[in-house]
Amino acid sequence: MTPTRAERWLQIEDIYIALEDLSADDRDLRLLAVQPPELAIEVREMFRAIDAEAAAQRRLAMEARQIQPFTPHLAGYELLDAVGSGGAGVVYRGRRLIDHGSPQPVAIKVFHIHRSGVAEHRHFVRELGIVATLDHPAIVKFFDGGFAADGRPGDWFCSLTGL
Amino acid sequence: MQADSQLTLILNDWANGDTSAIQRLLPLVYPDLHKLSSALLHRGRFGDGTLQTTAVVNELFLKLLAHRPPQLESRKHFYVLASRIIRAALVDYYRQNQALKRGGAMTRVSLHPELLWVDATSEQVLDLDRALDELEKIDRVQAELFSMRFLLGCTAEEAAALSGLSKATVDRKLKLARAWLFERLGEPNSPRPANV
Repeated sequence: MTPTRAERWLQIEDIYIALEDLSADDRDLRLLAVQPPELAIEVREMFRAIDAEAAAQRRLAMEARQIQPFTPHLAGYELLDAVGSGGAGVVYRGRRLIDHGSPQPVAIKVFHIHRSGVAEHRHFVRELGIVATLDHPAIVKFFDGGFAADGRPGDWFCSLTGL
Repeated sequence: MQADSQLTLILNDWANGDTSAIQRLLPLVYPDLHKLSSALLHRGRFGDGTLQTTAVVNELFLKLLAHRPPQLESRKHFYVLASRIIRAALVDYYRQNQALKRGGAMTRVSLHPELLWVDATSEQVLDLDRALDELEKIDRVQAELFSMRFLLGCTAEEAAALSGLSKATVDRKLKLARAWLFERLGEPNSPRPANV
């Protein structure tokens, strides 16, 4: 009797379980023995679809990471160009705007923690307090810090190299 | 009729197998679903271009729990109901905003960070809705796991606990369900999310 679609689907899942950890070659060999041949074709299609789906997800995730990051508006500062980015955030070249004086060059690091909750924000504020106490020639001098208008934290650093 | 008793009656209908009850349920839970629409419209404020359904779902549960008919006993039954509501809301939202989308006024919003190829504001939601109906007929467990994981925002562990399956089984079933749905939906037309 011809299996129903649901029964066929269960067969595909069973064969998938048996073959998922094998290399592509071993898998093909084993599929040769699967009867009827239409079932083997469907299993092969399933493996192909799994790879295609995973590839699409990976590609979109990579594209999303490459998207130009949001540029925050920080009162009293002017953001110029992004000079680097990493897992934690993006570093911009910027200027601190001073009344009756020439703007002071600074490096501004904006963290990617806008998706985080209250606990992460609290952690960020605590960390700012610790960083502010550091004073060493080999450590970038912390200068100012806070949150951008949309709730994203920004971390303002005075640059030692004088950008 | 009071909205509250209406809600109880509709939930009873749904628990008794009347699937059309979801459509009647929508207007009654709209204040909660409005937040979902706001998340879609103001995606820039959330920043990452991903739909955030978890908060909406939590409020839905609170509302539904207060009107729980005796037939709606298990937690899983509730999750299935909530995912049905979210699906109906996404379809409804898409139909109401098609014109905006064509005009390019809306940007892409991924259904879930781990399912970036489904755009919750595109025609894909109609395909997803149909495909999930189809998957339910072939493999109800896979359809339910997919809904818990990607429509309600459950983790794989939570989906495992709710369904009484092992985490490894849930992962495998989700992998098969995603591949099956990917074959039917393909990728959204817009090549990549707009700038944040």
